[in-house]
Amino acid sequence: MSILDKMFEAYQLPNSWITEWKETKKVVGYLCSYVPEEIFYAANLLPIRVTARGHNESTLADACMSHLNCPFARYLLDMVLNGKLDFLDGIIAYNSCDHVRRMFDNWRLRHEPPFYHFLSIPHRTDALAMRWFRGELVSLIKHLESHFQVTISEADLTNAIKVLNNTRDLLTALYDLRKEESPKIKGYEVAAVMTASMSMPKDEFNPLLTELLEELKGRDGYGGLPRIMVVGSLVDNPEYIKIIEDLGSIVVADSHCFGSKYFMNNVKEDQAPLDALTERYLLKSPCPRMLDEGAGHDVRLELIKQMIKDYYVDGVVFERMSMCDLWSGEIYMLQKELKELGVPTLALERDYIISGIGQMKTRSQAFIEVLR
Amino acid sequence: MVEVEKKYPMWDTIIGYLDKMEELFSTMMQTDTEQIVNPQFIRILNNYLKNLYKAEAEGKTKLMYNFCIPPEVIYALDAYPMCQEIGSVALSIVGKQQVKYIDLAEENGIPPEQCNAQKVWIGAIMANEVAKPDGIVYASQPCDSTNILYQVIQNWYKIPTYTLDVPYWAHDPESTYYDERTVPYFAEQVKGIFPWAEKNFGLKYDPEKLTEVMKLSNQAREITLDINELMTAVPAPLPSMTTFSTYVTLTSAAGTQDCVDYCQWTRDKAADMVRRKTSPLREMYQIEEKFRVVWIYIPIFWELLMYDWMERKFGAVTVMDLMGYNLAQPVDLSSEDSMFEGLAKTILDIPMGAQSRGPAEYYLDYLFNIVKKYKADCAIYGGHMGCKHSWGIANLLKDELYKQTGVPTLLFEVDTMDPRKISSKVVREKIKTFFTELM
Repeated sequence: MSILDKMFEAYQLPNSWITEWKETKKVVGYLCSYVPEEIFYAANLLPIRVTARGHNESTLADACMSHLNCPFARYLLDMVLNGKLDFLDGIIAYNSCDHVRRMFDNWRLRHEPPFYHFLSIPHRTDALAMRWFRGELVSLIKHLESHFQVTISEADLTNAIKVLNNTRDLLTALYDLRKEESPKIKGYEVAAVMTASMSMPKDEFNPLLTELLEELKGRDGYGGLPRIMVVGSLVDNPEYIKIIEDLGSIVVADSHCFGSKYFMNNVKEDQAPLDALTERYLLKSPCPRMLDEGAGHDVRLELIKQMIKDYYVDGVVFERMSMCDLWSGEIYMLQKELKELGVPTLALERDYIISGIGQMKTRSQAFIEVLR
Repeated sequence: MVEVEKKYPMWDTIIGYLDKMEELFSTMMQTDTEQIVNPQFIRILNNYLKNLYKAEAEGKTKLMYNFCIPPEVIYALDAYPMCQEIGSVALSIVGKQQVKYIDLAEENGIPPEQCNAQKVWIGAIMANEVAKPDGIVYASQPCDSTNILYQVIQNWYKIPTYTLDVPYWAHDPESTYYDERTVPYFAEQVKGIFPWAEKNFGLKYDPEKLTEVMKLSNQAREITLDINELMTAVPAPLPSMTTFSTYVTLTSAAGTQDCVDYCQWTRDKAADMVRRKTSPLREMYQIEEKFRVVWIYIPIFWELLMYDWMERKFGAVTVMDLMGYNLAQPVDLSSEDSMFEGLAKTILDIPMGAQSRGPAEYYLDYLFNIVKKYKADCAIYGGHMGCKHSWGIANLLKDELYKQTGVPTLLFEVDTMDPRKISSKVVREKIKTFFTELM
């Protein structure tokens, strides 16, 4: 099996790496890129970014939530109610968005997990918010320690930071390949790597990615194709990117939480570990839930503009899960601003699963034609 | 009546309606011998709107705020408090003008599923038919729509904006979800409004002015708590949705003498009705109260007459609603810190924010409390289609309420600002079926 095949195999929950880990240790799910994985590694717990990947129905969840709720939340709740996430020993949620926090309420109250913790993550980034967030991480650590009967020391956190920084360095190297005139890797392959990075132990993922980077050196590039950046709601399914690329383009960059928002910026290794984690995670590439001048819309716009430049992007595809309030407002602003800068854009609304793609294909095809 | 310059069509539409209503009010909602509904409500709301022009003439700073910010803070800064939701809601109450702005916002790229509580105003901005504020202050509750659409408004105006991060947990030591860090964290942020206002607009913080405003606010708060206690009486001493009117008055005018006067009139009317063991329903329509309803969501703004229809048709009195259940306690004025702490608690407890900002248990606790306290026979959740988070737990609320209390809930979808999505006929049919066949 090739390395990329292994990455694709990690897509399903639970995958073979998780099953193997479970033989001796515990697995904790988390729902968002604002949750520091380092804390779980430090406790010798395997953190898995939980989505409904591989689950294709929402019947049970539809009876609990509403068609006005985002499909990601509904599919995920359905997976929970069907017992497909019962392999998790715990789940960490936070006030990421309305749909997910309410999905989590239904999860807790209708199918109680063995352990859960809710982080109240600030919408601001100033010193006061930093102190609050640090306090939240301290509470999380204490809760994990008492429930799982573990001790999380500073040294454990420092080691975990090193492992995760290595992951981030490797992912940065992978993304750097996409800046080239002839990128050596397709966007959908990168999507598989990204999903794998959040679905298996980093001790196994890091060597695999190192090997992949070596292997890619010998690959021919994919030059001459319109270069696209994908911005919006989480894309955990490589197939979605493949549909865009199969129409004659290459996705070279992204700004969503299964992409660059996951790994941009390392945790500082010369600071007290908890302070460094607090700073990195609150100041990471922000999501539209963030409100103040340290992470608000202007900050997000600048990051996207910089990526457009660094990755030689020809056009931006905005995609958002239907009913997503945060991304719909954000895309409204970004589309207007990028238009003023002369960057072609396309805004797509989507389901969580790959369905009804006829319209998406037609619109994407027309957009790619414009970019040629 | 104060004559005002007509400059902002959105504002002027509401003022024009309220001017007429003020004239009509003396003949409405009364019996041969007494006024049943507080006539001051219309006047206070109208004055609040007209004061925008006065503030502009005087060169006052105009601060937009969301309904989760107590206006006392802005009155204390001697600025004009421009509540975005009051504008959007009031326009939805007075007629059909709001749909023009909703359509305009959507034509320009704001998605239809976004909440119209902000979209009305955004459309009015796009049409250049509403005053531009000098700054914005808003709290990150109750929902994502607030959080992102206030960013859209900020982005449009490019004006200084102060955001308050509302933590997800409770601050009440009696609560199972108590978190002792919440109040100090949030009070610091409330305090931060004042240096921000000074830096950006030269507005000086005057502790004496804040105290003066809070004294008036405290009077209104105490009386509001009394009103809410009086509403537990059977039969209900005030007409349906009076508590909502009180909420609107507090949101626009808390910290003013007008607000205190309104609250006093309302409390005295309720107390008098309780003393006489009678009700508006009996006095006005000679009907006895049959069902006590708790309306567990915001009212359908374009259909406020429906609550009166429910009373007359089914004897169903809405004794409490989401916005009317105001738990704001008088603020301790003994020190600046205690005032900021009190204001912080006010925001954390603010109607709709209190139920929405945290886990489902916050909403559930509110439900159990009001159903028990107001001896409700049923609950009605006319869920606004833009309110995704509450729809995410609506079935849970219904199930748990029935399980814990045996009280049934009617759930239905409606757009509380836009009558085109679900019509009055459909809504009334659902309510009719509920009262005639299920209750």
